[in-house]
Formats: sequence, structure tokens, C-alpha cells
Amino acid sequence: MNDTIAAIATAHGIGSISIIRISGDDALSIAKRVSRLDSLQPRHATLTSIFDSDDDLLDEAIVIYFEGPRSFTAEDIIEIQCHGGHIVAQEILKATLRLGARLADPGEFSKRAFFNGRIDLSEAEAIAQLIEAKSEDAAKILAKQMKGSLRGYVEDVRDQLLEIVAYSEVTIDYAEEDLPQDLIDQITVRLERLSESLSRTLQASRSRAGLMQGFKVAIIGKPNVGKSSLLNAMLNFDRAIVSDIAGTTRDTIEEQIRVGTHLIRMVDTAGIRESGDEIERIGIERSIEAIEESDIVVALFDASRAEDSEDSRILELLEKYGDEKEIITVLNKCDLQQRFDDSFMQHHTPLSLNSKESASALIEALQKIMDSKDHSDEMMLISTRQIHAVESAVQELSDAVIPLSDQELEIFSFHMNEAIHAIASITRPYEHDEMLDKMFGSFCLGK
Amino acid sequence: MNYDVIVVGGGHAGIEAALASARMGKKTLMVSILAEQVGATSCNPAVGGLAKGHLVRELDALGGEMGLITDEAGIQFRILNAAKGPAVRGTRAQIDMDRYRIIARNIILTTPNLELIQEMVDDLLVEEGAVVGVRTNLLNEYKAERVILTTGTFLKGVVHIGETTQESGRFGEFAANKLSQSLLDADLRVGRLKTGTCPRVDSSTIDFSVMEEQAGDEVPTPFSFRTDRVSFGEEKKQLPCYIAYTNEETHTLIEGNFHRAPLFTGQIEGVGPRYCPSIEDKVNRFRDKERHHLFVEPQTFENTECYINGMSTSLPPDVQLEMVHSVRGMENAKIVRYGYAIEYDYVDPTELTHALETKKVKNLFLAGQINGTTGYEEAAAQGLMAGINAVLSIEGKEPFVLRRDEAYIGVLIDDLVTKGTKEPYRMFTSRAEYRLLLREESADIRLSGYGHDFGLIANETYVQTEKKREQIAEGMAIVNAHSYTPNKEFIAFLASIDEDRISDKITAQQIIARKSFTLDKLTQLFPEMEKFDAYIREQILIEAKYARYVEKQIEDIEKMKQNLHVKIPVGFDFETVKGLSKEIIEKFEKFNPPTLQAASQISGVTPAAIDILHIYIKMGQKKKNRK
Repeated sequence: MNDTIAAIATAHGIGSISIIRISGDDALSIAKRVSRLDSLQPRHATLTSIFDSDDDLLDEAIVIYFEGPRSFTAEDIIEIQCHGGHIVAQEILKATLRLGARLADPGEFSKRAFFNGRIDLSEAEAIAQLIEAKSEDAAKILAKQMKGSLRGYVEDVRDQLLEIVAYSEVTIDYAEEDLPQDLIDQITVRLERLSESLSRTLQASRSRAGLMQGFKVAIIGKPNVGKSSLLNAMLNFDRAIVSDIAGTTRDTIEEQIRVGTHLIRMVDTAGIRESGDEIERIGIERSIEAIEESDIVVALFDASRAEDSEDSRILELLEKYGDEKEIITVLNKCDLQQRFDDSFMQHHTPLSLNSKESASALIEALQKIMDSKDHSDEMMLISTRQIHAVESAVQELSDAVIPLSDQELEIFSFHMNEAIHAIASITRPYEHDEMLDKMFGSFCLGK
Repeated sequence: MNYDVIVVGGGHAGIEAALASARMGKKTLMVSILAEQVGATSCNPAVGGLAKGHLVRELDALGGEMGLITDEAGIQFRILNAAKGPAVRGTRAQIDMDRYRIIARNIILTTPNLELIQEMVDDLLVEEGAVVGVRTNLLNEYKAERVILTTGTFLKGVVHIGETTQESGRFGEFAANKLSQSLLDADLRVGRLKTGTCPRVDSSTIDFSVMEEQAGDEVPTPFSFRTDRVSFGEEKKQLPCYIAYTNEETHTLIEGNFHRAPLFTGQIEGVGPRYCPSIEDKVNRFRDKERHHLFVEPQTFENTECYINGMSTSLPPDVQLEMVHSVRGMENAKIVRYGYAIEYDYVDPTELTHALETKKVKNLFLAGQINGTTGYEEAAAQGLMAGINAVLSIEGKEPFVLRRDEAYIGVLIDDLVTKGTKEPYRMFTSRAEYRLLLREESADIRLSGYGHDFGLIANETYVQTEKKREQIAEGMAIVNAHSYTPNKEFIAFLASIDEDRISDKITAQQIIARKSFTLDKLTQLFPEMEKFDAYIREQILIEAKYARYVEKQIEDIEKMKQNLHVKIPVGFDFETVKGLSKEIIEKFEKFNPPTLQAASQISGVTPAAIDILHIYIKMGQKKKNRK
């Protein structure tokens, strides 16, 4: 027997409708009692009156019955869509609680879905994050994962890994069997392919992490080049914060700008606003840190002043990080007489701003870069847990290569099993017997 | 007539069970349908192999008999996977099956405290939920404190050859048709399994000259740690086996007779092993395979009859004969004994505790094929464990349970009693998640302490093992105390032993772990190791090579042990984790395990189920902490 839980599923506050969700063995009987209906047809919306135990009418509402196990939690689920507002939904919820339902803990519906095998860990994770998603990008990716796209991918990888282990195990456990001669070569090829695919996923997830968490943008440049006013211009683009005094927004832990479907998170805004002396002391180290932390680097140069040693140090940094990071170089103060040699700028996305212009050109350039990240079908890992799992799998696969070529298959299998465990942790635990099934399914064995 | 322990059956499980019990000082009776057939090898004339060799070595380290008999009756010894890593090497011996049987029977008859009687057990005598003895077909009643059933394929055994069936426990021997009823009466879950055997051919009608010869190892290695390696290697006389192949003609013939195969016509209902399929099953499932391996194995030292390994079948006699004739070298061969399939009753092993005692009938132990296994070695291992545990339980002592990280025997029994089996269960090295720890060669070091405690391993043997252990530890201490920097002298040394140079600081262990680092190089690197004999040096080399992995595995084991100690909160509602499977929830509710450890020991509970339960408990705790 599973106890029955109930909760208001819609947001707290005033809306046109509210939904009360009930899940568990008694869901249907509770629904029948509050609606005074004799039966409810699964998957049909029924308009009905809702009463409390004293036969007082609470609301006119739509009731939908999802019959287990074909429901989100795999249990019987009832959804009551009532009129919005705080009171009505609360009253209906209270009525269901009086009839034996228990108030659900936060996330308990998803938890039941997971434990009842309706969703795996990756899907549960996606649901949890989707509720808190901050940008449309993130929501899109999460929706995909929630529908099981990551599960599909992981299952496929896991399946292939299992097959490879089965190849290796069969070579060990059936030493005398008449096995295909090129078994080891086959394994090698498959392993390489799989390793590449996982690395690509990892790479894509890292480079596109911005889609999920927001793109981290760093503004670098020498003191007084205009970083602070550029930052402000960007912030103004999103919300109306107007201030001439540096440090006005310093209290904000993190400054975020919404651009299209994307979210931008500014890196080291405090550094940008620090007074000149301090920047000169630790300027370059600070720039390096900011670059490393960011996805996109906006490098700012002063058009009105000739290139100096600090500019060239920053140019060196851009050279160094050019392959890893997206870089936009911005020539500021273009309305003044140009003294800066900008011939180097073709390498990156070049931009000229004058102090009177808004940051819209820069925002446009950023959006172009961010949009480009969205045009990939690569699988996307959404949490550090998932990324860590794939990282360890890739590491184990790379450790497996030498033992394989040395024919030390027991060590090869060791790494492969570790890799499977790592990958499996994304969705569902690994059962050892799965390998044996693979083994007997693929080979004709036994004297 | 009163005994401490009665062992029903004289196969490989029965022999080990009876010997262990008698040697541990208990008055023991072995009841066998045919005394002549004690120690018979019903199937192939070989002992050991991959994972099975491990079992025999472990059995030997605990004081079992199989390794010793095999060393004596063996006619060919080979180490399989010699070219692969040491953890996955397995020793296998071809045996003279007649001699094996005679030696085994003689040991049974000459062991003090042990009697052998030729009768068939018909009923278990059960009083108040506990077995108190057995009744035989001659209406004799024997009383005992403990009863161990090792019935092999004899429970309601039915032999199939083509369209014919006959009630036999082994071809030509009576089946035990009554005893199953006692098990059903005790409410034990009884199922049906199938296994099979190959045709045997008159050796004088085989043309061995067209077959590929497969000789034994030049220097044969004995199974038993108690057999002297040197004299064994010098004196053992060996015979070759031969490799032959099926061909298209064989396959066409078999396919053309599927309609007469009991396996496909519904005549056989029991489930057979996937890893030891009959030839008709192989042809059916792998139609595009052009040929299948056959091993032609002499059954005795005189090589008058050969076992055609790989041709397990229950096809009709005329098809079997044509099948044999289609193989190159056997065109004119004469079959002496036809291959057959046999169906028999077994007990769902999840009915057992880790001590192999049934949960429903106290004092009743089961071992061997009755628990759903296949193989002489699997049977023998369980027999020994059941024998030891029967004695320990008489003495009111804790049961002897080997862990999965300790022995293949631990893996075997844990798999059986926690997961059960739907097909005959065979051991594989890949079943052992800690196989790098469970090497054949280290079985004595791992386990003979236990054997010694039970009085099954002699003091002298144990002292020898302890000396080995100390020497290996000493060698490892030397290895672990050394590391090297890439100075001129050391680089020159590496060059002199044909090893790649180093560019960074490196430990001795890391150098030894290289594939290219051989045994000879070990004494060149550490001349002080010359005082150890070759066996010890090899063990040091292997330990150093595996050190990194073993360390990781030990870490995992520790982590798991810690996890297993996780307490399940009192009054924990297992219902909320229903998603696993209804059966597991029901079991949790019934047994109310206090820890994950206890939960994991309940039959049918898989490691994945424990993982999920663990996640759930952790989630529950987190919630509490927040509150």
C-alpha cells in the first residue's frame, strides 16, 4: 500500500486557475468523494462541482483522472483544475487531506516517479532544474532531457560499453573457444569511436554550459579604458539602472543580463569597478582569472590612445586563449581621434563603439555568439554530477587503451567496468548480470 | 542407527561434504544409490578450467579433496589463458575418469568416522520443522542431527535421446523419484532444469592423424597446494586431446532433424544452460557460423574411448551417428554411448541461507546441482561448505560464509542464495567483481587459515603457507620502499635490462607494473630477491603489477562495507520505495532488515536495489537535517 499525497501544483499567488494534484492508491476515491461522482473516465476532463465534507460547494472545477501505472508517478493521479486564487485551492486541498491524503513533501511527486521507475535520475534532475530554469535556453535543453533524450543517449553508450566488455570477457572466460580472430581489433575500433563520442559530448556540454547556467562574460582592458561604463551600458540594456558613480551596483552579487533566449552573467564586476591603483597592481592576474572563468571575453581598447605595454600584454592573453574562448575585441571611444593600431583585430569579432552609442552593437555580437552555441544536436549534460560521470568514464576509457593493446584483458575489463559504473550513475545503477546476457546473446559458446 | 551427519549422494558435492564432516570429527553416513558410481564424472573427463580452476584451488586451500584426486587421476594438465593476465589464468586437467572414481571411493571407504551405504533415500524425516533423518527404499531409517542433500541430476531424472525417454538419474541408473515429494511437502520451491552430455566414441575407430593435437603443458602444474610441484612436473605422464570441427554437412543434417530434437519438440521442458548449449541449439541460434569446435578427449589413460566435447545432444541415435561421421577423422567412428539430455528437479537456491541450510526446514543442507548449478567444481565447492556448516551448526557455532571479495566460492554461494538462478549456474571469472584479488595462485594464502581452523588443513601445510605469505610480504616491502629519479646511473640500468627510460620520478611498483617487466628483471632490479624461490618471486611480481587496481578494489570494498553498515531507520516504510519490485518490498517488510548489510543478504535483493534503497535513506536523512 502506498499512501496518497496531495499538493497544490501551481504557483503560489493569483492566477486564473490553480491545480491540485493527488497521487496514490486513494486518489480516485478521494476525487469521487469531493466531486460526488460515481466514476471518472481515465484521461477525460470532467467538469464537476467540488464539495467539502459538509456538502458546502467549494468550486466548479475540471477533474482529470490519470490511471496508474500510465501516469507521471505510475500511481493513480487526480488533477483538479479549480479557479485561481489562494483560497479556493487551499480549501480543496484541505478537503482532500481530510479524506486521508497527506500533504506532499517538496519534490515528492518526482521522487515517486523515480522510485516507481517512471523516470530515471537524469530525468528527475531535469525536472528539478526546469522548475528553476532562468533562461529559455535552459528550459529547452531541460525539456529535451526530461523527455528522456539523455536517457536514450546514456542507454546507448552503456549498451555499447557492455558489448565491448562482453567481447573482452568472452575472450577471457572462453579461452579455448573458436572466437572471431579479429575480436581485439573490433574492440579497439569500437572503443575509439565511443571514446570520441563521449569526449564530444563533454566538450559540447562544457562549451555550451552557458546555455544552461547563463553565459559568463568577462570584460578586460587596461584602467580607464571604459570597462565600467561599458558594463553599465550593457546593464542598462536590460534594466534601468542609471548611475555615474562606480560601485553603485557593487552590492549585486552577480549581474545578469537577459538577451533574447539567453542569460549573460558578468564575471568579476567588482574588478571592473576597482580604482586605478589597485588594478595596476594586480591587473593582469585578475584579467587571467576573469578570462579563465568566462565563456566569452570582451577585450576593450582605447582608440584615442596609442598602444602601450598593458595593451600588448592583454593582446598576448587573447592570443593565448583564442582557441578556447570566444573573444570580442572592442575599440572604444571611436568618436575621438584614432591613435590605436587596430590591424590585429581581424582575428576576433571586432567592434567599434563611441561613448555616445549604447552597447547595442556589443549585445548584438554577443547574441550572435550565443545563438551559434544553440545550433548543435550534441547531447547536453546539465549538471556537474552528469559531467563528472562522463569525465570519469572518458578517463577510464583512455586508461583502458594500453591494457587492451598489451592484451591485458583483465585490466582492460577493470577500466571498462569502472566506465560503465560511471555512465550508469547518470540514469540507473548497473547490474552485473547484464553483461552475461550480452555475452551469451552475441556469441556461440560452450563446448 | 544414529549419525551426526547424513550425506545423500556420492557425487562431487557429496564427497566433499562427507569428508569435511567426518574429518571434523562427526559420525557421518553417505547414502548412495550405487556405491560403484561414487565420484563418477558423468559428463566430460576434465576438472578445472577458467573460474572452475579457481574453485578447485580454493577448495583445496580449505582442505577439500578434488584437487588431490585430480592430481592423481590427471592425464593432461594445462594452464588456460597463460598468455593473459595472472588473475584470469585457470588450471585444467583431463582426467582418467575410471581412476578418479576408484580413488574417490577408496578415500570415502578409508576415512575414519565415515560410512558408505548403497541405498536410495525416499523420504526425509521431518519433525517440527526440522529434519531428523532419512528413510530409504529398503525401508531403513537413519537418524541424524543434520542432513545434506547432494542429489545431482537424480531427482525425478528423465533421460532424453531422440523420441525416447526413460526415468534415470544418470544413463542406466535409477532415478530418485520419491525424494522430491519430501521437498514439496516442506513447501520448498522445486523447479526443473536440463543439462546434456556428448556422445562417446571408440578411440580405435578415430583417425587422430587428421586432427589437430592439443598437448598438455610441458611442465604440468598440479592443482593441490599439497602436491609437490617439482616431482609432479617431472613424473606426470600426459596424453594429448584432439581438435576437430563440425562442417556444413553436419549443420545441414542437424537442421534437417530439428523436428526430431526433444529440445525443440516440447519434449524437454527444463531450462538448459546458455553457456553450454547442445549442438542443435548452437546450430539453431548461430546459423551463419560455418563450423563449431570439437574437442576429442580421452576418457582414460588407455585411451580406448573418447568424449566428443562440443557435441552435447539429445538428437536420435541415427542422427547422432551421421553427425559424428560427418566430422573429418570420424568418418568411420563407432559410437559407444550416445549423447543424451537429462531433466531433473532442483530447489530454488533462494530458499537457502548463506550457510546452504534451507530456511524452511532446519538442519537440512543442500549442495551441488540440487541448488541449480552445473559443473563438478561448483558442486564440490558447495559440498565442502555445506559439510563444514553442518558441523558448525551442530557445534552451535557461527556459520562459515566466504565474502565475495574473499573467494570465488563466496561469489558462487552469494549469487545462488541472493539471486537464485533460472538456468544451470556456472562460474565465470567475470562473475567475480574482485577477480584481480582472487587469483588461483593465491588461493592458499587467502583461505588455508580457515581450513586450518577447521582442522581440514594439516599444521605443516599451514606453516608452509604462512611462510609463503611472509616472504611475499617481505618482497612487497622491498618493492614499496624503492623509488627512482631519472639519473644517469638508473637510466643506464634500465637500458641494460631493455626497459624504456624514465623522465620523471617513478616508484619501483610503477616500473614493475609495465607489461615488458619480466620475472628475470625483478632479480636484476632487486638482487636480494634471489633468496626467494621462483614461485614467491612470481607472486611478488604479480602483486606489484596489480597493486594499483587491487588498491582501488580494496577501497571499493571498504566503501561498500561502510555503506552496508548504513542503518535503516526503525519503522522505515519500504512501501515508499515500491518502484524497485513488489517482491523485494515484500521481503524487506517481512524481514525488516536493520542495516543495508542485512538487506543485501535477503534473497533476490540485487546490488542495484541496495543502491536505490541507500539513495532513498540518504534523501530521507537530508530532509530530516533540514527540518
